Order: sequence, then C-alpha cells, then structure tokens
Amino acid sequence: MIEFQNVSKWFGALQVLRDVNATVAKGTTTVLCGPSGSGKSTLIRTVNRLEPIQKGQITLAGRDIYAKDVDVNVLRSGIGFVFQQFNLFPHLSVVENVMLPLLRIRERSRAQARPVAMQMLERVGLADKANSLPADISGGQSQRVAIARSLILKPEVLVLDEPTSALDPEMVGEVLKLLRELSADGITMMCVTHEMGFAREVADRIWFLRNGTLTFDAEPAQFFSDEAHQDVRNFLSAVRKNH
Amino acid sequence: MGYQFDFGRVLQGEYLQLILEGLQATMVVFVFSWIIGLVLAVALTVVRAIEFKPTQFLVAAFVEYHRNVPMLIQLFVWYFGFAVILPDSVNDYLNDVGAEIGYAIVALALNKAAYMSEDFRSGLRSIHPAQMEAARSIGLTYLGAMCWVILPQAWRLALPALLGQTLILFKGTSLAAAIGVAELSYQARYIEEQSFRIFEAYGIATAIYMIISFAIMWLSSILSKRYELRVK
Repeated sequence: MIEFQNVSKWFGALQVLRDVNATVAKGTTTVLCGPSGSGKSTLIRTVNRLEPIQKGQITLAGRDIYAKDVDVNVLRSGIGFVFQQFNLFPHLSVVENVMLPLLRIRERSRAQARPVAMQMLERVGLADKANSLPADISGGQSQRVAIARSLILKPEVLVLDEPTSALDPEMVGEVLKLLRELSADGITMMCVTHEMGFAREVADRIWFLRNGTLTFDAEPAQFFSDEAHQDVRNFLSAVRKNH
Repeated sequence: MGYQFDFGRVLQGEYLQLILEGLQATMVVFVFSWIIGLVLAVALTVVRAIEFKPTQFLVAAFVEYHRNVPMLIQLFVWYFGFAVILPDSVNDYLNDVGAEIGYAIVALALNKAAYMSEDFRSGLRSIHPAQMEAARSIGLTYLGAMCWVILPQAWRLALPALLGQTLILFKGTSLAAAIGVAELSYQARYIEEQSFRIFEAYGIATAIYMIISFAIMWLSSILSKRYELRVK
C-alpha cells in the first residue's frame, strides 16, 4: 500500500535518508525504531509530504505522492498524522479540535460534525472531556484527542511519530491500548516508537534505521531473535539497560 | 485656603453643554481612530508576514516612524504639514467638514496601527511552528491554517497588549486639543479660562477620563480572562 523506492533526503549537505526501499502492506502495522537521529521521524514525515524528498519515489495505493497532479492537502487529509507533542489547538475545546477537519476540510456544518466528533471521542474514551480545553487534560488524554482528530476523516493510513515519548510513564498505557485497538481494527499504521513491548505485540513488521539507512526489516519474531542484525541486537540491549 | 469649590457652576448651562460636546468629540476621535487603527494594524501584519523584502521594509519604516516620533509632532505633521501640500480647494473643503478632527483621527489611527501591528506580530511569533505543521498535516491549506488555527491564537495572545494600546489611545485623544479639536481637555481649558473655576473644570474632566479609563480596564480584564490562551 505504501511503497518507498530508493528514498533519499538531505538537510543541506547532511544526508538523512539513504536509498530506503520498503513496503507497508495494507491493513498492517509497521513500527520504526532505531537510535536518535537515525531518520525514523524524517521517513514517516515524508509520507504526507511534511518533508520533501530529493530522490526516489513514495507511492500510496500505487500513486506517486509527489506527482505534479497530487493535491497535497487532499493527500494529507487521507493520512492521519499524530505528533509526539500532540499539537492540539489550544484555542479550541477537545471536541472542536476533533471537529475542525470536518468543518474546514469536509465543509460539514457544526450540527453535522459534532455528533461524528463525539462518536470519535467515545471511541477514544474521552466523551466526558468534550468541552474541556487542551490545557485542562492530561498528556495521555491529549494524545488520545490528537489520535481522534487524526482519525476523524477516516484516513487510509495513520502515521504516529513517537506518540508516547512525551508522556509520563503512567499515561503511556492508555495510548498504547488505543493503538492496539486501532491496529486490531485493521488500519494501516506506521509508528515510530521505543516501546519495544508494543512493537513485539502489535507490529506486523519492524523496521530498524541507522544513519538514514533501513538496515533491518523483519517480523517481530525475527526482530527480537538472535537472527536479528547486529545493530538491532545492540539497540535492543541498550533499550533494555535503560528501562 | 480661601478657594471655595463650586462644581455646580461648571455642571450646568453652557459649561455642561461644552463638557458634553467635548466628551462626544473625545469619543468620536477615540472610536474612529481605534477602528481604523485596528484594521490597518491587521493589514500591516499580513503585509509584513509576506516574504517580500521591499514591502517588509516599508512596513518596518512606517512602524519605526510612528514609534519614535512624538505623537504631538505626528499630529502637527498631518495638520500643519500635510495641509500645505494640498490644493487650496481641498483645504477649504476639509476646513468646512472639520479638518481638525479628521487629521486627529488619521494621526492617532496611524500611530496606533503601528503599535498594534507590532502586538499582532508578537502574538504571531509566539505561536509554536508545530501548530502550523499540525494544521497543514490535517489537510488545511496555508490560508486555512492561518485563518482557523494561527490567527485565532495570535489575536488572543496579542489581546492584553492591544487592550493596553486601547487605553493609551483613549488618553492620547487629549493631544488633539493641540490642533484645535474641541474635545474634553480642550473644553475643560476653555471653561477654566471663562469661569476661573480651575479645579472644578479640570477636576470634572479628570473624573470623566478616569471613569472611562476604568471602564476600559474593566472590560479589558473581562476580555483577557475570557479569551486567555492557555498552553501547557
């Protein structure tokens, strides 16, 4: 469904992605991991063109997303994107944050949008916080609202950039639980995370990046086995030490 | 102290009429300057936000002139300076319709536009760039993101400063007396000269300025709380 072909990217003279070739099958969950600065976040940001690439091709459902006739705004409305820092809009209430894409992109009326947004908030377990402001809810709740907002337009793909990294440990569980449910529902998901337990349990494929190169792409069983690439074993060993 | 207070003398008849006319002129200058200033400030902010050096320079020059030259000089430049470069026929027309109040409104509005545009700009700059990125990532166009996400936050962030400028503008209307606008402080001086009730004339003007200033501050406090942008 999403295909990366020789994808390369530079920030000035610094090459941050090097000939990435990989495929994300429809309805699967792909977890991206690797050390800081390895290009994980940059790679997923290329999927909705938040970061342009300088070489290669990315196709979504067989269509080159960088083709001249692709409307970037239409592309983005079909790809839910969740940020590490939630990035909720602080001037809008929780339900208004979720309604915004329906109001301003689908051009629904408030009367039409609100029940849909409330349904989505019920799905993420936050219907009771609908009228709260982002400043008045916890980090875990904020991230669940951000996920609800990213799903409101029924995107084909959900991309998450370290969705639990900015959360206190006790709030990580509530977000991961939601992601497990979404994965089970069959949405195509790409997720950058250091939560290796989540990766083992939920991922269909795990990608390991180092210095902008996709060095290992495997199913969880192989990824966590002794057959894994040496880089992966070193990384997992470091992650275990830090937890 | 042999001075006998007599507020009643100033608060009746012709003098009361002059005070009310002065208050009306003050409010006209204040309201029109504020509206024109705010609209211009938004326009200046938008123009300065566009990455085009010549227009950015022009806006910056406009702002610097109005922030670094005394308000009184700005009034004189408009009333005395601008008038001499206009044809006599235009001057005659302007004098017939009230040139003083018109020039006062223009000068104060331009001055406030400069300050308010800086307040808007400051509000815009204090919004984290990730907000624009988040807005674009849900599929909003640049204009849509500005309209629905960035500007609604920017004006909230700028609101306390804008309300402060509003109060400064209200008090600044008294400078219009220097070019002959018969606003409240002008009338207070006239009444004092005619009646010799110096304390009463200025005391009443002071009370009126204070009541309206407190009302603006009270409203500012309510609006600031109502539209406060709380960011975690």
